[in-house]
Amino acid sequence: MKPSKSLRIILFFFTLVSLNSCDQNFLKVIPASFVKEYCSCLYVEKLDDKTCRNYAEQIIKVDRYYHNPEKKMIVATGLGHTATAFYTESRLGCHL
Amino acid sequence: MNNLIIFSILLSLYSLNVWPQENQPSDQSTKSIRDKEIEENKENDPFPTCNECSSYFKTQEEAAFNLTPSSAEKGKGNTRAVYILQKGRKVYERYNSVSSNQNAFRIWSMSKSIASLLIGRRIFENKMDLNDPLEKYYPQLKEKKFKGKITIENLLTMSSGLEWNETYENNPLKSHVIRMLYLKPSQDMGLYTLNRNQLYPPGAIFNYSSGETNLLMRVLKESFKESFKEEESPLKSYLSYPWNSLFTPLDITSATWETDRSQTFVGSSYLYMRTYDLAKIGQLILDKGLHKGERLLSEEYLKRSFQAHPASCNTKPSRYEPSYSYGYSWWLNAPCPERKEKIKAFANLPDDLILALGHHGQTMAIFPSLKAVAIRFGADKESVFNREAWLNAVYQGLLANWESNLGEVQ
Repeated sequence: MKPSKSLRIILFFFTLVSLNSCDQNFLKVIPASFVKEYCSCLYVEKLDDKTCRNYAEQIIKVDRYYHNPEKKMIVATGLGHTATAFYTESRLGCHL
Repeated sequence: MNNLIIFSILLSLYSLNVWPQENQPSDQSTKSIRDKEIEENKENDPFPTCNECSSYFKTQEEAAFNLTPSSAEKGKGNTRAVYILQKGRKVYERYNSVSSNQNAFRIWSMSKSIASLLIGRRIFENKMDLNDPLEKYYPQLKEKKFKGKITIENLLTMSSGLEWNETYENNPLKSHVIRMLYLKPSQDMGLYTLNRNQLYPPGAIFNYSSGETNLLMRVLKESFKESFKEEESPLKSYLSYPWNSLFTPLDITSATWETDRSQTFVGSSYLYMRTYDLAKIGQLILDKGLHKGERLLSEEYLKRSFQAHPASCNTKPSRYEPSYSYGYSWWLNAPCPERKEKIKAFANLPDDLILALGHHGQTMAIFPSLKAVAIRFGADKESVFNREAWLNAVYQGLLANWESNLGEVQ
């Protein structure tokens, strides 16, 4: 049995409160997971932009992001942190 | 602190109405473009279609496959693709409106099972042994006080005893896997795993850990330093190994395997493939390691891969999980031989069912007795995909085919 959606939101809220008090660096997960999964979705899975944005977003969205198609690079800022992911080549895909 | 709590409340409230959903456009033109793309590229898929074998799946798809872009349950489970092979012929194939057979899908933790095959290949080449201790590859490990020697087999069976918490959205604070994939430990995931405390003696307790597979990929990398060839650097040999040893011999052309910043494959999570390319892996297992007459993996390694390992049998399953047993990084329906009560994960499914499973509902089910491989890719961020219902429906279809005509076809 999985926790319900509302329970998950409450859990997430409490987690956030705890995180704020003890581990500021952990909040980088929000922009980091967004840029990594968005990059892989666009350049490896080759799905469309809207699908990829929806997929990469977590409960808390990033404040803003920048996609440079020429450099195949995504930069995002959220919760006071910035993260970058970029595409390397067809075999090795994207990384942070 | 009060300001931070208020900040958290505002963020959480803001998030209440933004629970993410996979985009499922109903636009007919998008669908027709995708259909055209599938049609144009179907020659890339080597598996012939068995038209007379698909009737059961077509009547069941709304109920069983969660492929419901036009129904009231729109988006449920967010299935992206379903691809089913039986006796080397395609009996069902369908994609959602944003995907096609040309997309290399993320397979998440199903990568672990392919990573195990890669290790099996290295063992087959006599470059590695199941009983090798990690010290053989990491001499500096001798300084670390372990409760016992961790072997390659321990890492394959998630029984190194190293502390690990594998949770995602439900409990991110305690999660080692989130830190490993997205924060500073992503620089060198194997090293991060190695630096965990060892809670149990190796081989005693099963504890599912993405870190262990990434440590295994780090060990694989170290194994190339021993067999240095002048014409190619150890790193270059390692980075081309999945293709040279497995993908190219199987004619798999769509694979991407991402690395961490230390250029070690993220064996736990980051392999991508098209449907029919992953089906080739499933077929290789059905064919017991043989592909077009060439042996790629030893039969013995595969046999051991699909046996319930004692560590998984000794460990009480999580109350959220079915009672799977676990082999060499494959989930199994085989009951544990030592247990008096023959509990298995799925009571209605055969004992020899082999599964590769991943985050967001990724599934590859191999049914050796029905010579079938069933693949499901999805983006089930809300965890609503009912894997058991899906597997039962697939099994019924495969069984119907077997009993009607396909069982006779050679």
